[in-house]
Amino acid sequence: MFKTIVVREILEYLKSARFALGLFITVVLVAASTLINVEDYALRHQDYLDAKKELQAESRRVNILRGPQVLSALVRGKDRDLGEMAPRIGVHRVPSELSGYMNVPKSKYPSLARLSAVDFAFVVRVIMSLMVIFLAYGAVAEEKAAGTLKLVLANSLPRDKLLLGKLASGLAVVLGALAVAALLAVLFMVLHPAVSLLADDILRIAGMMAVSALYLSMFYALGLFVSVKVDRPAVALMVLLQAWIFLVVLYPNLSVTLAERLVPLPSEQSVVAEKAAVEGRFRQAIEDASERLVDFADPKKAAENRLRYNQVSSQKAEEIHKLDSEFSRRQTRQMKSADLLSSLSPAALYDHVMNRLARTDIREYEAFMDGVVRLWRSYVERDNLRVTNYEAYKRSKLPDFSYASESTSQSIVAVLPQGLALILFSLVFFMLAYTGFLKKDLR
Amino acid sequence: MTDLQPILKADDLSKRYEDGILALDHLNLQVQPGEVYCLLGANGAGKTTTINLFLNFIPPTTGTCFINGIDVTKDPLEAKKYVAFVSENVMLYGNFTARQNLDFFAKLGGKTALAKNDYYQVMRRVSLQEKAFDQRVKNFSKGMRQKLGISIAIIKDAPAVLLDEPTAGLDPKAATEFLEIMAELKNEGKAILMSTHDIFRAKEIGDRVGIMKEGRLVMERTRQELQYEDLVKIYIDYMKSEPLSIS
Repeated sequence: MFKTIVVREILEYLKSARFALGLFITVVLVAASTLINVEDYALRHQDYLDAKKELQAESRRVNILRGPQVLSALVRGKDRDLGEMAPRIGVHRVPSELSGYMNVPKSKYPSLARLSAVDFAFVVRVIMSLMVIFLAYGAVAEEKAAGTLKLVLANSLPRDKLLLGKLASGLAVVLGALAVAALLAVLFMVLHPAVSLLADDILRIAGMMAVSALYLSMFYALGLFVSVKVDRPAVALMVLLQAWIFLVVLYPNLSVTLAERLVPLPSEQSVVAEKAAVEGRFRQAIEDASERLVDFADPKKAAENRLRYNQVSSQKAEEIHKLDSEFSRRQTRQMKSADLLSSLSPAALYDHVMNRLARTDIREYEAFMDGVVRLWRSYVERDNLRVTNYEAYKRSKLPDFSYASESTSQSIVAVLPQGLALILFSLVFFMLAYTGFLKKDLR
Repeated sequence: MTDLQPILKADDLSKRYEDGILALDHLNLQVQPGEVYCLLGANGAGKTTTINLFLNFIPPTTGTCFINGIDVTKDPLEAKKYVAFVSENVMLYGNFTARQNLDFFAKLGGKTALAKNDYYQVMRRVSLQEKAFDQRVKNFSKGMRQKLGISIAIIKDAPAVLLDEPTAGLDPKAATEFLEIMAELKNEGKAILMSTHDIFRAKEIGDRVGIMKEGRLVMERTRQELQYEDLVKIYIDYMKSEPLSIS
């Protein structure tokens, strides 16, 4: 009997115009956006390789380049907006942010370029969740309005079996549509010559698909709950659309605004003023030290001055870096507060997990910048050696730049709470639908 | 007929909704095999509530419904094996054909081994046009949908049939055809409980007719008794009479 219910429900969904339309929009958007984003990645990656080659030729300068993340083709996140190159490293300044060095790649598909703000995560978060709502709102309400619910329940069919059948078939259809979209996106990636996916990337993509499935399941469970509680299908749809607008659009933005109020950041002017004060404090000492950096008559004195200059400059740089770090720390706190506040929104949870798994979130950038600071410290140490022990300096080598990018297992562990929250939301909504349906009066 | 074990039995059945409305007030009725019982009454008299209670769509406030001797509240799934249901406005699944609808409901009714021809036979029996058998139901007229609804009830082959205003909105020809099928089912020994507004057809087909008013069964007559009485006059008199004092 359960199979009979599931088969009928699946066929009903597949024959419905709303499913056909939803799937069509999903497929078109996923295809177009992935095509553009993969191409964008390929161009940025090529730019990165070219820039690396070009800068390697300038052996005296130390430049650090940040390559694009391959999974930004699926989840753009902040990958494109945070710059690609740490400005030339010197003792007098700790690089605190990246600059846009490389050219902004031009789309190969100008007519589709407007879709560049859309990615796979956006399609799932907005388009597919809406499609799920349009599928789920009538699951019970439409059957009640049409009278078929009474006809079905006039048989020896337990209500829980009917609801579970509806859930199973709804999820099968929704997850089937997700699988089609995911396959299409991955196909575009693997077929592109510039993209090479490692096992690690495949694992991350699998994680992203799993969380997408959880996210859409949550909306189906919510739809089922509203469909059970509200008898009129049009009213059920209205309620669900309002809930969707709140959960996907309003609440995540509201939590960011709230976090800005709760954890305010110092103004740009005050940071600039503080930095200027530090500059002012060190100005005289740096000027004094830099006066006689080259003195052929007294090389010992010149070396002392050089060392002194390095010390004072790096001290100043460290202090300015402290200010930047403090600003960045507050920014992180603000972001974490926004994350915490928005954890009631499945859309915010979904975004968080997708960005983390795709390595296109701010944490990846921060880890990169930590690596830059470590390299700067090595650079300063080595530069001091140039003055104190030139032979040792010549023998020494600046370590290669590296940073601790989050491993896949670390990312998965990190996103577990959000994944569990999505499961919890789904369970709560389904349990509410379940108890509501068992007690429902069919007048 | 009265010596037989009733297939449908309402025993002191009452229903008060959460909003305080008393929809059914201590109803007692029985329907024997091969008997058609027509429940007459205005809107809100409690006819549909009675049927809803028999199908366990709503729980009774007091009293018990029995189908084939099984307490509906205690064992609804077992009780529903013995009853088929035809509603007022059989919408069915519009995206499916008549046969697919029939197949789905037959399987729900426990008939899992039926062939295409079995479905066609039942649809022929209710005089559904052949060309409609494999057409989507969404384009069906109300009469065609009602015939398909009866097919669903027939294919379940349950000893009891509940009908909620089955002829409402049907043209006279379709209504007459519908009643002919009811007569056939009655002759097969089915116990039929039908709620209706249609006094003439109730008199025509009913072995017993009950008039409901404000949740109470205020009158019951057998076919024999109605040979000497004017059902229309009785009905109108009851409808015009003072409202009942319901606590």
